[in-house]
Amino acid sequence: MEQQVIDKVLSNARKRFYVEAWRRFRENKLAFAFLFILGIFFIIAIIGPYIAPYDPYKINLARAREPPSLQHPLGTDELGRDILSRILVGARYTLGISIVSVILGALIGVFLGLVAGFYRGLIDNVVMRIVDVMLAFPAILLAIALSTALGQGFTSLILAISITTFPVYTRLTRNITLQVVEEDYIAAAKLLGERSIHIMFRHILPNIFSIIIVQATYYAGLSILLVSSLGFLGLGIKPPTPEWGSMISSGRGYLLSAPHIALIPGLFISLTVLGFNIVGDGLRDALDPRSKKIL
Amino acid sequence: MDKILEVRNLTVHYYLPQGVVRALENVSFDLYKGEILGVAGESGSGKSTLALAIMRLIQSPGKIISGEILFRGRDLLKLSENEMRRIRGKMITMIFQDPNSYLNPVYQVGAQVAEVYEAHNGGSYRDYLSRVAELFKIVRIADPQRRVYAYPHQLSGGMKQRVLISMSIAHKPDLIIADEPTSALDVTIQAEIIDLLNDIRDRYGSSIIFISHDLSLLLEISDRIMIMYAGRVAEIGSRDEIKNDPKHPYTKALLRSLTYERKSKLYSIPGSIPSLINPPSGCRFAPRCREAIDICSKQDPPKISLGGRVVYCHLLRGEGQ
Amino acid sequence: MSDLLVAVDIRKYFPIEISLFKKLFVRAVDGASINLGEREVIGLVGESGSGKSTLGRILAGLIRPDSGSVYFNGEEIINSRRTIPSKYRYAIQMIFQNPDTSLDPRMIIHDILADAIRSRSKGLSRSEVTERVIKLIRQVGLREDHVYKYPHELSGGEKQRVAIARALSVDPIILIADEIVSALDVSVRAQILNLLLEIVENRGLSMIFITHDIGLVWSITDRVAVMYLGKIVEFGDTEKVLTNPMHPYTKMLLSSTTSILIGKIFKDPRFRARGEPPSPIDPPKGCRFSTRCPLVDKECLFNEPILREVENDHFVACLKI
Repeated sequence: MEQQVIDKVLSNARKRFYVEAWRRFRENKLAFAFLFILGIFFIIAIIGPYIAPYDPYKINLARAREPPSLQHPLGTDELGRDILSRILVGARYTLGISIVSVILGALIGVFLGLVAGFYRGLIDNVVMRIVDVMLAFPAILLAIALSTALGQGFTSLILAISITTFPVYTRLTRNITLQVVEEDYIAAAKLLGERSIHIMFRHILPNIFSIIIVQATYYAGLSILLVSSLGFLGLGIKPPTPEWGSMISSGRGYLLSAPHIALIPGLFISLTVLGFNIVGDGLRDALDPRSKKIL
Repeated sequence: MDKILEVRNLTVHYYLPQGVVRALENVSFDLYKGEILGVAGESGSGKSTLALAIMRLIQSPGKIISGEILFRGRDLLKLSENEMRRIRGKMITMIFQDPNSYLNPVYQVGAQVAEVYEAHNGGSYRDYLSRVAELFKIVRIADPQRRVYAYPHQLSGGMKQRVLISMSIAHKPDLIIADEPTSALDVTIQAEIIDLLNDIRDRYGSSIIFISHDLSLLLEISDRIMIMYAGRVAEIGSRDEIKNDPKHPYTKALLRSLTYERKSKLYSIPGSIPSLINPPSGCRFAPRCREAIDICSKQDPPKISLGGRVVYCHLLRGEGQ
Repeated sequence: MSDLLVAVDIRKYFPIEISLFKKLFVRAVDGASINLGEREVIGLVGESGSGKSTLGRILAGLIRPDSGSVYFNGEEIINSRRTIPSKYRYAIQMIFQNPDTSLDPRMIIHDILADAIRSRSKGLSRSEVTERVIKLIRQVGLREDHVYKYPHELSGGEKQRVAIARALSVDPIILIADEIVSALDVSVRAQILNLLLEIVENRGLSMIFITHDIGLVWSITDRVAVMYLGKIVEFGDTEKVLTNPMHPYTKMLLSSTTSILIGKIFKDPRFRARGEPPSPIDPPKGCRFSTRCPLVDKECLFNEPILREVENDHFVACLKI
């Protein structure tokens, strides 16, 4: 066979694992639907400011606290700002920051976990003790402490959340790495003279990838809650920035008179977190079909 | 010699979404009091299904389609579940392959064995612990008194299997069905367990149906051997007859694959075990049989009786009855 | 000459922590010496806990011994301080027991073999590598389209063939086969072994064949080493050891085997297995086999026997001979 043809067949074969996983994922209607919803939210995060009907910062006290109407499909908040526009623009803050934090946290965490699990000994002990200490704190407390310490601004916020979340990845990665390292195919790789770094990235990482991705999707949900909670508490992103969490905070005082101000951003947050959890479940089932469903 | 078990034309099917699995078809054999009958067969031969059928443990999607299982004159297939429960664990008991799956890791082994007494005689398991220690002595567990209080993880594989065996002899059963009881054990431990089963047979007069994929093992322990292939009986004969004068081509091939000769190629039967959903018509071994003739793939092989022996093969037509 | 690979007094202890202050060791290999010649197949036989797998991994350079050395063509390549230098990496390759875990589940067969080929021959073009992969896969009896599959899409036997291909891809001189057919269906074993033996013969390789199956030892090995609890108790020409064993454990092993061997293999019911093997964590003082040996006496409880030559190419470690 011609080399080009063979190359094509090979690359198709290599992709087959993911192609089939995607097919399995699509069969899960619920997960697929939520993926679609999350997709829309992401698009909004990118194009939000361009499609917002009103200026999200424009105050109009005359039309404050109006319930949803034709003019303002999601109503107005306590300062008369259009909630729909604020939601559309706020998406990039709430979602953007959480996603970046998740990715950063995962990168740090997985790297540390791989090293700890592969080399063991002193490195493993040191890393895991640090992780143990960090995991002893409730995430929100840690996030608050870090946020206060690192000060204002988006970078500080991203750092705070990444640092809060990386320990879970480290522990997970390290534990699985310990198991994978014992498998015969790793021994075979050593017999062939493959170097440690090569073994880590060529053999161990792909085999733990599915678990990490699933964990990351669950953690994306947590991240969003952390960003929103910090925003709600007045740390992290401050008003007038339309971050969904701080929108809930501002709307707190009007729960009886104008509940939509707090509830609508709350609904969007819930939907996003729920979406990540369900997509995470779907990913887990698609990537590792052997894990049987109990229900 | 008394017959303790008579199985006549036993047929068991499994109804799966892919189709009907004809796991057992027209299986017939006798079992005499105090004898060890070896049942030999590879995976897919139906040997485990046979064990479950005799114990009436076949569950959906499996179904016993037809046949009789006469135990001491009564047809087990016609009994009520309650009557069957009184027989199971008492008169007919079973030993399985992997003791780990059958021993609960959170309870002491003595308590688990005592449950057998509890189930049939009432009371609490504590009343029976001394009897359990006795049983442990019979099955040659070292330090029996202390081991009654041991947990499964504290025992070796061989010891765990002895615990299972003690459960099965608690009520001095008429029939013990052993389904691959030594496959997971080292060869020296296996030899000890085999000796133990022989001992039990001598002591209690129990009959044993010993199921294994290892025909060479059965040649050591059995009085008579039944060879199964793809859900049907191929041949039944005494140990010596099977070893020195096998009649069925499958038996011959099986023996050959188990024979090791110095510095020579290993033999394996060409082809593979047929699917039981769509088994070949006629003799199920015909596609792989070196001696097959035309009729073999067209008609089911007849039952040929030669004295005490039974062979299901077209090639022997004319011999015996 | 039997000096292609020589292992001298290999010891490997694995620590188990009982409490913060107490540490016990599993004495997996406790002073084993073995030598392998060119074009020779040596069997390493023992039951679970004998240390044969650990010894195999030490010889392959996967585990560093706690003490002892391994020499390749007279040059010391392994000791407690370092393991195989890269230039000898390829000389010794291993094939593992479990086909499900010896191939990276995330890689297609082509890449598994390509990686192996590239690790030895740098600078090959993509098409050259693929060409070699396909040639290799044909040598082990598989078709070209197998290389585009993932391991889970292959059967156990096919996976083992791939494992063999991988081991051969770097042109080794010595193969260590660790129970390579134990996890396979009985019907498939012969094919895989015949294939391996043909390859070993054609390429003039040497092999250490680790197994618990005496039948296989009889069939394919030139010499055999019998291991018990971390020590080699008997070693020598296969025919001599199996027809005229000297060590009581070897006699017990042979008397407990049920495999059908053509030839005058030792068998004596007086040496039938008895007793449980002691734990490798706390082996008895003196001879390890004393707890089960029919010849045991006071001397055996205090002195450890060492291997000595009892006839040409036949070594035994026993005080009672």
